Amino acid sequence: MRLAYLWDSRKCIACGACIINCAANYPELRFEKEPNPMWKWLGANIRRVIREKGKPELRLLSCQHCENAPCVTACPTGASYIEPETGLVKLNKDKCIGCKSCIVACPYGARWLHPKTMYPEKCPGPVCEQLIARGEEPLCVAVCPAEARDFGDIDDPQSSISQKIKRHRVSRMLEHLGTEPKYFVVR
Amino acid sequence: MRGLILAGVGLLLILAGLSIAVAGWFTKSVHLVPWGVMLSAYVFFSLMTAGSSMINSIYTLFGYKGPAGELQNIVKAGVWFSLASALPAWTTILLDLTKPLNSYWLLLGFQPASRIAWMALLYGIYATVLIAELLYVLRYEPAKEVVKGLAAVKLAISLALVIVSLMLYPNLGQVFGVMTSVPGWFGAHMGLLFLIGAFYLGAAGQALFLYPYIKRYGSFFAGFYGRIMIISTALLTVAIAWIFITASHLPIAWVNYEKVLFSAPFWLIQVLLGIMGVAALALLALSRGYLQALPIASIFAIVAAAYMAYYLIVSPQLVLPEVLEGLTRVVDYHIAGDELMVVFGATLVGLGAYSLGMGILPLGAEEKPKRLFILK
Repeated sequence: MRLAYLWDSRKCIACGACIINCAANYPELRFEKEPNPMWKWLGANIRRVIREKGKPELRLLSCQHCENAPCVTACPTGASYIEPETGLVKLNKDKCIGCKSCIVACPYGARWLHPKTMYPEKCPGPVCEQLIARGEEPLCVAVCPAEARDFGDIDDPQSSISQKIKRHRVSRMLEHLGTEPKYFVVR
Repeated sequence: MRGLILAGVGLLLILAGLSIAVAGWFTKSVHLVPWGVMLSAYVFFSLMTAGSSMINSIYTLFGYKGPAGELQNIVKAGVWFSLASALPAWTTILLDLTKPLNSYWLLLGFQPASRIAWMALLYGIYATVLIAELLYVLRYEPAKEVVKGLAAVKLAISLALVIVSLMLYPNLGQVFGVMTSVPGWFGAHMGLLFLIGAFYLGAAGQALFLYPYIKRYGSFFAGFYGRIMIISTALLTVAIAWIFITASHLPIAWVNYEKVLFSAPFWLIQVLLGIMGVAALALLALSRGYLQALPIASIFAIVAAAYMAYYLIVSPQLVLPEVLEGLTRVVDYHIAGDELMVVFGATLVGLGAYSLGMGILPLGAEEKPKRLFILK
């Protein structure tokens, strides 16, 4: 099984529901003045990348769950790892020493430092991890009102995500770096 | 009496340094640059310790004593300096971690693909061999002859130390060099710069801190350290130029390095003090035997190397490529109080350790071990 994310840029209405709900992963940061100082953003695992000049472009960016993940390679203790059962990139906080090499190594800038625990955070957050373990969709996918998001097994040709990848023109971000991301963007 | 004062001052500095550094760790906050000034300080002290060990090896491994045994006379102080300057490196890197007490996972969960994991292993070996070398020189150097049966041990220790030191530089360079996420680091240039920087900083550190020992032995050391400083300064100039030339071909790397290149501190600290100043003073020491020029050259070199470590580590992280082509992530980094506390505290630990060693260890040429039971 290789679980992957898909974001359909054509359907996305940029309402931010996925980001707001992703912040539910970190309720302890809800009333903080600066919940995510590294991104100057909400305590969420999704951030917006916007090109305003020329042709406007938007990307909703979170962990790409790379098959050749630089964060996993950089991690000296094995705390960052690819879960064999799901193919998702995860973090074992018991092993994490907080060297921040994963944050530095991620070319997507998809990790941030939790201001209270000082551990790196990433998608999926603790709530979504439980949802995924129960076979449910992560929060960002479940709440999207435009059905612009999908999540599922790309090894299963019948899965909804596999069908969308097959039907639409999809791309992956920074593919040239050889990270083999599992976050597909429908364009 | 002088020894007791040095030891007392050393102990006080260690305690004060540790208190300040640990207080810095407890007040740690999120910094916009993940690897900031603490990593710069770590690189700085890493280069100093390993560079000093390499310089010691001129005597310990290659057997060059100097015309009147001058190098042999300072080797004990040289090895102690290597160990003392390693302590701030380890203090800063440990206190940069969120969970320094979990560091055992570096070995238990050893990841061969991670350069940081290799740094931990290499440092473990380095510390062990350096302590072994220290014990050897303290115990056997006063005899000024290789003790029968121990020649192979001495050779093995010295060889192991040189090999580990040589492995440290490229590995430390590749901690940064493998990061495709930071174009200013990516490539093989950092390892080479660190290797040259280590000789530059190791010689400067020894010439300054070993001055009480080297001033007794005439103009030999003016020539010895003067030569190393001139050669390493020339090579360092080439390596720095190489970094800027390489960066000029990578748009994002250049955005960062361009700011450094066209800044006043670069020309004042790196070029004027660190290259021209050091080279001129080292030349004065070498050509005229003017020993007093060395400590001034060393201070210039240490200031320049600290600045170099800062801009090499921090600057490339200030502007990073974004996932949309042509866009960048820009970070506004200022050194935070907690970072300063750790760096300052760690520096005091190094100074204190060196002072403590001067007070209680028989580092002088003719001094025999007497105060520490283990060295009897």
